[in-house]
Amino acid sequence: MFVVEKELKSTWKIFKWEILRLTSNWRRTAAVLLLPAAFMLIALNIFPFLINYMSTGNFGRNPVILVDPPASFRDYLEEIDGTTAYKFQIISAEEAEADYSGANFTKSLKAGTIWVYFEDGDLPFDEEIARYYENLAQGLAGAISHARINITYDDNSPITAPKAEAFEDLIIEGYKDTLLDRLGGNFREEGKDPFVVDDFNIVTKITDNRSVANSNAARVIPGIVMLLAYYCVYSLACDLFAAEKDRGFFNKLLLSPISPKSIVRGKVLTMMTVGGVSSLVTIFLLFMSSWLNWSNDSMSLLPFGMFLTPLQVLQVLLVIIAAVYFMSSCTVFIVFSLSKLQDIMINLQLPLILFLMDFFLTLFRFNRPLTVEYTIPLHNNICLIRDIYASQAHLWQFIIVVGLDILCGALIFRINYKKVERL
Amino acid sequence: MSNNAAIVVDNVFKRYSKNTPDIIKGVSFEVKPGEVYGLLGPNGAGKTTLMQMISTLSRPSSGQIRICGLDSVKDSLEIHKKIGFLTTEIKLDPLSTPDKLYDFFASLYSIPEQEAAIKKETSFATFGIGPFSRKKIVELSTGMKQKVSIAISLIHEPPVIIFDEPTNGLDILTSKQVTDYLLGLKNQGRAIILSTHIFSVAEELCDRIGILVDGRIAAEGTREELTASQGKDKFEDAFFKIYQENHHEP
Repeated sequence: MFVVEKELKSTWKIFKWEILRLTSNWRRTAAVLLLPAAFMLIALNIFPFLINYMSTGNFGRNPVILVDPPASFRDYLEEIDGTTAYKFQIISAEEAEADYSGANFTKSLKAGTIWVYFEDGDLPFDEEIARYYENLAQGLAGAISHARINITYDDNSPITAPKAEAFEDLIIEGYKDTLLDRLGGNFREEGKDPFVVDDFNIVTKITDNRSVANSNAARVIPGIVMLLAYYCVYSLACDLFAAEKDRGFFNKLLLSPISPKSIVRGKVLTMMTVGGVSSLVTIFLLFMSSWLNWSNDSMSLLPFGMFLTPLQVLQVLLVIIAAVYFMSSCTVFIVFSLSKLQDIMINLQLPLILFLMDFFLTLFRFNRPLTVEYTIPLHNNICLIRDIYASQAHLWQFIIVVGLDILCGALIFRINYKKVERL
Repeated sequence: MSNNAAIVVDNVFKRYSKNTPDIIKGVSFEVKPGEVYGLLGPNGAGKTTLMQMISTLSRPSSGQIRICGLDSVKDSLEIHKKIGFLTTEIKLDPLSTPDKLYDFFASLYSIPEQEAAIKKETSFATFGIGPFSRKKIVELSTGMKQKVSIAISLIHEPPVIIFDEPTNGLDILTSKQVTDYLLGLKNQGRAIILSTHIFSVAEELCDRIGILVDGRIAAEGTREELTASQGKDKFEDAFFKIYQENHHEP
């Protein structure tokens, strides 16, 4: 018992020293804690543009072309002007026929354009709707409207499809309410269906966009989060282990009356704490970024650590901390297996390439991970974080992933302790 | 081997892997309390390797090293309380201050805060560190860094001091300050072992000198004994004769 207490005290001394050392210099603190978050914010804000470019070959917003919209829709557009991410272009049916027939039409779809056609019924669009409401008000059985809104887009494009779906949910649904106000007549008093907004962000329809945003986030965020967690571990391994070993300061610590295990544990605890706090800061900044986001575009919700429940946030944090533990064991192994600082630095950078590859793999895959993938250390962390974002995570996956990280990390640390003792 | 020796090195060999030759080949000597033992040899003779083994930073491949009666492999943590290892190779954290480093090492040696504060004041006054105690290490001169390193290494007042190349890279003023300090420690009854390739340091400081050539102690004795044994007038000439007789090109 006394030995354990002594070891814990020694570990605490090293941990306290390292934390004070890291926080005593604001540049060092900012580099470790804020740089990953800032990098992620930039990356996630650039991501929609990147995807847009990859799918359409264009930067910026592609237009939604409205062909001969009725007066009610034109009025509605004036009302929502400036509150939407969509750029509208109104053309007549004749212009559409002349400029966008055949190959030109296909080309415009591939460029990410969404086409909206207003199809009249027995009467012109607005009159057809007004008659429909009138029939409803009079209790006419089988009241029906033949007015239709057709939305055409390239559903092979990963950016246009969700944009079109969001357009239908946000713009068309809102328009329906306008119709009720404008054309509902006697029916308006009874049938009004108020526009639902959330208290958090009065413009963004969070619940409607959640599925779209989270499915995109599930592909983007896990890779970046792991990449940034490794960046954190990498920079700390360089500072706490490689540089100190090179300076000879690590030897000075080894010559103190505390055990080599306590020294390594204290430093690893520092890495795990800083890794965890850094992730927390990242998620918080993403949250704040989204809070300030007033756009209705579902893709614009990407910078939010998405719509995770508190339990899901906790799960993500635990998965990251477990990953940081395993990463730390690997980096310490590299540091104590090589003698030259230059070799250590190069070898510590190699996993960054693997994480980058895994990031792109996750980004461009549309199927769920195979069961066997949950047994590949660190890749399985990316798979699990992806599942948490997509609300598809199961307890067994969580146990396997976190368990494997801890088990593999502990085994490698056993080797590391022997290496340190035999230095 | 005598029972009262502070450092006992007994037939020690060191090799880094099975396929490489021995770097240290059957070295034996001992250092008594109040004695300064100098390991003199050219670069590559194995001085630093031997010093690292004595300080427990590496293990002998065979043979035994005992510090104050404790085994260097089995009792390494206990030995750390009894030794102060100084080397110009150890560089302190550039962004820390002497003040913080001293406090940190005092906590590692479990020295109570009040006692540590008194020791710090005395030690910093001895080396003239006081005015620089809150400056970052990176802003200090090489000599001042070395003084801080010495102050920290001897924080626990160890009975055995191991000093690898004590005056390497230091200006003459700091060198003098360091050698005077070491003589003061010797007079306090501490056992000191130092390695050097500088004759003046060995001559001025050491009671006995072991001449290390190609991993072996080629000769051992006082400066006078070594000079006389080679029939020379100067210690420097005796050293070169011993070196030429014992050095074999690989």
